[in-house]
Formats: sequence, structure tokens, C-alpha cells
Amino acid sequence: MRNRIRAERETRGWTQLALAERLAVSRQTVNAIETGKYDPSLPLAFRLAAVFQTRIEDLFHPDH
Amino acid sequence: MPSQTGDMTSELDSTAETAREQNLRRRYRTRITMASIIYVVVLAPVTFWGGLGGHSAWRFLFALLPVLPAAWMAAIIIARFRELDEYQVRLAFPGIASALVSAMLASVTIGFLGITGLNLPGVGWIVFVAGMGTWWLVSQLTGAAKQF
Repeated sequence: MRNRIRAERETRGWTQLALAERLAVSRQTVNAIETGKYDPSLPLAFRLAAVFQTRIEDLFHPDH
Repeated sequence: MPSQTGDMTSELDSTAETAREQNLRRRYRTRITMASIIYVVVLAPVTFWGGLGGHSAWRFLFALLPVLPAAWMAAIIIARFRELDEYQVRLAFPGIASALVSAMLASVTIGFLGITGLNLPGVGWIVFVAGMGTWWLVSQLTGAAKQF
């Protein structure tokens, strides 16, 4: 799964730490999602969409 | 211009942790250290003056006393697992699963050897070392150890 988390975060000038604080997860988790090591659960994906005020389908895209 | 340094994806990245994560880990380490100290404080007199090799019925009670702080340590570790977020749990899982398999294999091996009449001294400790050792080793390899 590809995602636009890093792009959205950097557009806002947020650090991974700042995003992690907003999501109530560890910075390690934000880093894993951004680098594609980990695909978040649906609840966390919804939280990401809420934080970036967008839709899940605008943040995540299938690889194929 | 974003830089690429290992897992870092840009200059906005850092290896710092959130305040919540730091607080939780600090609390875990304080608690596990306290429980470990109490374990040693209980274990020492039990080992040296508990008369565990004697014939008093009290020796059973004395022998089980260190289990109390050990159970507390187990509860602290379980509580720490409940604090982990979803990715951290996923990261920790291989260590726990490997430890379970390792301890079970050690237990079954010792059990079959026992059937042949080979009674190893301190077999319980072999199972413990197999489980804890595997957890430690796999957690180091996966990076999950940093969460504790």
C-alpha cells in the first residue's frame, strides 16, 4: 500500500513527532507507516484522515 | 530538500519519542526495576536462610515467596504490552511467539527425556531460560526491545 502521509505532513511543516502526538501513537509507528513498512489499521487510518482533514482513499492507494 | 538518512525521511524527522511514550516507558522501567529489587530482596534470605533443603513444612512457603514479586513483574510486563500501539504490538509479536515456541519445545524435550528416566536438575529453569532468552534475542533482532 502506498500512502501520502509524509507529503501531507511535510506540507503542514509537522515533524513525525508532532504527527505522532496528534494520533496518540509512537513516532516509530508514524515512521513505519510513512516508509511503507506498516499499513495502519482502519481506525488509525480514519484518525490519519481526520488529522489531515481528508478522506482515507486520498491518503492510501493500492500498489497495483 | 528532503534528506534520506536510514529510516529518516526528511529534515522534519527525528528519533525522538512523544512525551506520552517517554512517560510510559519511564514508568515501566521504574516499576520493573522496583519489582526486580524486591525479587532479589526476597530471594536472598529465602535462598540462604529459608532451609529449602530441610524438612520443615515452612520450606514450601519460603520457596514460593519469590513467586510473588515475579508475578508482579509479569503483571508489569503485561501492562506494558497493553500500552503499546498497534505497530509496536506487531513488532513485539515475533519475540513473544518465538519465546512461547522455545519454552514449549524445551518443556516437551525435557518431558520426553523424563520418560526415559533422565531427570535433569532444575528443569523449570531450563524452560524459563529458553523462553526469556528467546524473547530477549528475537526482540533485539526485531528492534522491539527498545519499547521496554
